[in-house]
This record gives sequence, structure tokens and C-alpha cells, in this order.
Amino acid sequence: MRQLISLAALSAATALPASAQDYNLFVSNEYGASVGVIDAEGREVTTLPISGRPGEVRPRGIAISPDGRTAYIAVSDFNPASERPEDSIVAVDVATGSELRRIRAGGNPERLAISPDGRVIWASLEAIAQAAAYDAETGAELGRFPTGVEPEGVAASPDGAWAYITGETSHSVTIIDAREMKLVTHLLVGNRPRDVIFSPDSARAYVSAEIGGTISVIDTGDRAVVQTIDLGLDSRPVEMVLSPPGDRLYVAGGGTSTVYVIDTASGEIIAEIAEQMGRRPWGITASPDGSRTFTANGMSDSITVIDADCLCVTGQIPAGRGAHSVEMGVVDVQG
Amino acid sequence: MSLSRRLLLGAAMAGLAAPALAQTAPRLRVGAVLPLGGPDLPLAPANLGRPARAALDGLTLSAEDAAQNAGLFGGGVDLLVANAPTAEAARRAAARLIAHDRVSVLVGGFTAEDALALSETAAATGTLFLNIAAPQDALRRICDPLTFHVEASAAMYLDALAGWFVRAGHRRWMVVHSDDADGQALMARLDSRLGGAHWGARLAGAVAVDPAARDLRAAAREMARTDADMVLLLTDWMTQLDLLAAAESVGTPLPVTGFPWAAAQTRWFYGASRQAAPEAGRSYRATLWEPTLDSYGARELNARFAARWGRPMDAPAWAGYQAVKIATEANLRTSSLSGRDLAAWLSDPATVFDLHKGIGASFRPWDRQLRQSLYLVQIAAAAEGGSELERLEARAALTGELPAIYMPGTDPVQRLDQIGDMARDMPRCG
Repeated sequence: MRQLISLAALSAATALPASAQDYNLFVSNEYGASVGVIDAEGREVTTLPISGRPGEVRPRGIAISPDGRTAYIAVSDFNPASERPEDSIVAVDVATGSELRRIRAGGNPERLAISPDGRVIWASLEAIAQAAAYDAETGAELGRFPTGVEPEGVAASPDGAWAYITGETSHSVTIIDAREMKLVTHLLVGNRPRDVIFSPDSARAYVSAEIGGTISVIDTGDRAVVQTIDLGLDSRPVEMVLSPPGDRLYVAGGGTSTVYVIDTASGEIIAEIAEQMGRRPWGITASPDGSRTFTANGMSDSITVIDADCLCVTGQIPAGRGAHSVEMGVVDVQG
Repeated sequence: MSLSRRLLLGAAMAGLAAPALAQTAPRLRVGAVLPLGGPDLPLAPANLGRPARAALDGLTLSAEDAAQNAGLFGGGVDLLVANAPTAEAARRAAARLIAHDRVSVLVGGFTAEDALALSETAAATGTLFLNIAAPQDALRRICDPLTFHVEASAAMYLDALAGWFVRAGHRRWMVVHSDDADGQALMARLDSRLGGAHWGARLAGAVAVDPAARDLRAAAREMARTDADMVLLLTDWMTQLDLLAAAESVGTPLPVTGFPWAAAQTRWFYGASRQAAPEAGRSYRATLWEPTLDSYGARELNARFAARWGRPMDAPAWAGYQAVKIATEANLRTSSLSGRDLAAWLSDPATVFDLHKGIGASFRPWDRQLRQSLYLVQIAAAAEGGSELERLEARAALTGELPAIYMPGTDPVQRLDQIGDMARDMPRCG
């Protein structure tokens, strides 16, 4: 069993706080065709094989159900234009690590989001410029919507009202009325928008633009970009996560191996964490208490642990080949 | 000139309801003037039918993407294509596209003469011109605010080659150049750059060849006798192949590379190079784009192109794709059909383009050249056989990038400006 690798005097300083120890990390290994499950101490719990064909089948986006008990993984292949049987959403029981079901999602599903009631899975279908909504239990398709070319980022608002999907090549965000299953509009944002997330109160959405080097802040009521946070042309922002109260935005800079920390009230960058970061941090998530942030590092096959107090790297956890996304799921609190 | 083919691509997205959107951008008309074929198309040095057809594939895919975007934001693109095998035909085609078809943007330029004809026509009519395949540095010295260059400049290619080969230890260069305007201009630029010790290399010999000559054995013998570390061919693509074959026959032991004209940046050329010279033809080549490029959205673009056409996305196809993408983004951001408005947006220092190369790119203000990284590929040993997609892709392998886009702590604009001519090298435009 692999252990958390210390960077300095590890021990208690690196282990997750007790409040977070009911959680496992789920890491999609894009080139390993597997999902790693790692416990709060950094120990490998298990590795779930997604396919016996690593290098051909690629798990990428992960979403965790609101109760924390089910992990959904977007599975596709390395030829975005081909339609393969593997194009699907795989549901995994967080407690046992066993596969629950596969939902057919043709068109190269890349990222996922779950509605706050846990009933609807939203997926970006990268190869066909569409977003789709599926019933989480039955897999039935509930809606399908045009997006920009190469859709990627997906988010469902905490209030259940909206689903947002980014379009990388079109520099767009598609807004869908999630209750009515109705396309509302599209917005232009920065170049190559990768990820989108909502604030806890659903009033704001944040969109990272990898080539533009910006974060677009969208007022969800007005459906308009109200602020553009400039991280620098070469910052390469990809996935983002908010601290639980929403006061800090952590942004993974994939191409720069840096995590940018933004004060959401001011829009100012308060830290750039580069020292001892893993290579090519792509996925990013935060512990429920906000004390730790984790990045999935595709080039170093690792998870980097960032402490929220010092805003510094405190640990590295080995992951599988090509770590892409990382999310947290509940393990011990199930009744 | 004949307006041989017209593509009008709509915004239909079958089966998917579009939202009621304010149509903020008017529909853009783009005229592509390409030397697709015909009896006037010269065999050499141009013979540009193959790269022009690749460019047309890229233009068409990009227009289809624009149709998808039109479903989001309004606007959209009508792509009108004219076959023009000569510069004069290009001039007439451009004038007709502007006068009768009301295009706001011209795309083309496969020879210096083509590009100049299109640039002059654009300047006279207030039309935007995007040069996608003419690398000549002289075109970058035209003081025309409506002409922009998506194709890399000759200076950029030569600097990139110098950067790569010097780094690999090849500091003494022998050059074989054609005794015509293109060859002389390339030779002069290389000589001045190497003479200034900018890259740490020097000329170890130079041979001029008649571009019409097909017996190149004398030049090949010079290549065999030289004490240089490498040989650079500053000739048209056809003469490069003949020189490679001649070099092979006399057993030149040196690495041989050639200037990457658009016609020499295709999988077809790589196969022909390997066939002409099984050893010398397996050289390293500079290229604007590589269809096996994998990062930063390149995989997705290459895959969509290959799925659409069944062929790899060669460099001319990429240039065509980006030209329409750049034009439609300008239209979308300005809500204008005016060539001058579109050009002003392209010239804005705040305007950044995503070229699928992993770094924000922009046009240099002094010559309206698109800043971008270039690639180095090596022609594969098995490059000659098969026309299936996988075998075509296997004809070359990506081996390098210059400038390297991943250099934390450096300014990306300065990084990209490591290659090519700077403002001080350019004439002042009044």
C-alpha cells in the first residue's frame, strides 16, 4: 500500500484533520484507464479498473453525488472523433469501490456535474459540441443541448436552477435552465474556457480561460460577465475549486505547475503556489472543512496537498498514470 | 480565373433547438483565392494544388465550426472559393469576390506574387487579407494595415532551424539555394543572421542552382565534399527532392534539411522525400503544424479534421482553419463587416488568439505577423507507404518546438518573439 510521501517533517502536519477522515479521494488516471481511491491519510485504498485498455480508454472528469456516496466518472477514448462503446458515465459506490452501473454517453464525455438533489448528471460531450442531462438512476437521457465547439467544463448551480457548460474552441459558456431543461443563452468569455464552477449561493459563476489567462466572473441573475480576473497571459488556468464559504478561489495552472489563490471579494491574487507543486496540476478539489486543497498532477502522476493556512505544499501522494481529476467522497458516514 | 466552387455553410444544427438570441454579429463572407489546379498552374517551383486543397479542407472545417458558433451568437460565415492558378488570376478573383460577392475578408497567398496581388487588392478596397501560405519576408515589409500573416515568415522558419540545429551541434552550414528571387532572399537573410553570430552558426559554403535545372549532381558533389556539419536547401520543394536524390546517390553523410514551403509541409512531401532519398530523406523538417500534436486542444482539432476528411491536418490545412477562425472571431467581437474594423481588432495589443498551440498568440504590431511557435519533425524510415490515415500520420514524428512555450517566469510575447524579424528590422510605415 502506497503511503503519503512527506516533503518535510510530515506526520501530523500533513495528515488530514479528523473532520476530513471520513472522506476518500477519487483520482481519475487518464493514461492508466483506472480510478485510484486514496484515503484521508494518503494511503491507497484500491484502484478501480475502468478498462483493460490503458492508452485507449481514458477516464477524466469525476463528480460526486451530493450525499457523497456515489462517484461518477466520465469515460471516453483518445480519439475524440470516434464513437466507442466505452463512451459512458461509470457510477461507483464510494464505500465499496464497486461499479454500480454504466450510463451510455456517446460523443466523448469529458466532464460531469451532479444536480444538488443528486438526480441529474450533466455531461459535456466533447466530440459533438453538445451537453446532455441523464437520470442518475436509470441513465435515461433527459435533455440534449448545443454548446460551443469542444465543450468541457460543466457545473450545476447549488440552487438547482442552472447548468453551465464551457466551449473551448468557441470561447463560450452555454446556460441551461436546469429545471425546465431549456437552453437559455450563450456567453462569450476568455480564450479556451476549461472549467466553470458556481459560488455557494449560486449568485456567481467562475470560468477559467486557459489561453486567455483569465477568470470570467458571471452574475448568474443578469447572465453577464461582470468581472474578468487577469492571471497573466501565461498562467494557463484550468480546474478551479472554491473554499467552502466561497471566499477563496483555488485555480490550477496546468501549464505552469502553479496554483493561484484568489480572494473572491476583491478579485486579487493572494498567493501563487509553485514551490514543490506536482507537474501539470489539472484537477483540484478541497476538503469539506477547507483546510486542504488537492491537485491531480498529470505529468508527475501524483496528488499535491496544499495547506490552506500557509498556502504552501505540505505533501505529495502517488497517483496512477496521468492523474486528471480529483474529488472527495464520503466513506464512513453511510447509514 | 473561375469561381469554380462555392461553399455556403449554414448554421443548421439538426435536432437541436437554438435559443432565441439577439443576432449581434452580421454574417461574414470570406473569399478564399487558392491555386487549386488548371493548365496555368506551374509545375515548379509552385505546383501548389496539393497544399491549396489541404488549405481548402481547413477553411471548410473552420467554416463549419463557425456555423456551430452562429447557432450560439449569430453571425456565421459564407465561404466562397475561387480557383486562381496564377497571380493575375488571383488578382481578378479577388476583385470579383469583393465587387460581386461582397466578401469582407480575403484568404490565400501561396506565392509572393499571389500574396502581393491579394494584398494590393485588399488595400484598394478596404478588405482584410489573411496570408496563409506565403512566407516571404518582403511581404512583411508591406506597409498595409489590412494585410496579416497567419503563415510564419521566412525569418521565423530560418531562426527556428538555426535554433534547433545549433543546439544539436551543427554549427557549420552548407547552403544550396536557388538562383532566383526567393532563393536569394532566403540566402541573404540567413547570411546576415548567421554572420551576426546570432545563433552561433556560420556558413561553411554556398552553392547556387538554377531552379529550372533538373540535373543537380554538381551541387550534390559539393555537398559530399564540404566540411560542414549539415546542409540546408533553400530551394523550392521540387528541387529539394531532386537534391536529396542526388545527395543520396553521391553518399552525402550529412543531415540535410530544406526550407519549409507550404508544399514541403505535407505528409505527401515527407513520403516523397523518403522515396527520393531513403537515408538523406529522413531528415528533420520545420513545420507550422503537426497532425500528431497532442496537447492544448491540438488532439481534438487534429481528430476532428481527420474524421471530417480522412487525412491528417497538414500545415496548410491548419493555416486555413485558423484564418477563418481568426476572421470569425474578429467579426463576432466587433459586430462589423468592415475590413478596417476587423483589422483594427486584430491589431489591438489586447487581442489574443488560441491557435491550438497552447499559448496565447497575437499579431506583431510592426509587420502584422502572427506570433507562434513552430515544430520540428523527423521524417520516418517507413514514410513512403500507404495512404491510410494511420500510415500517413506515421510518415513523420514530432521531435521539437521552438520557441518552447513552457518557460515559466518569462513573458509569452517575448518568448514567441525569439524568432523572426523585430521592429528594428522593419521599415517605418508613414
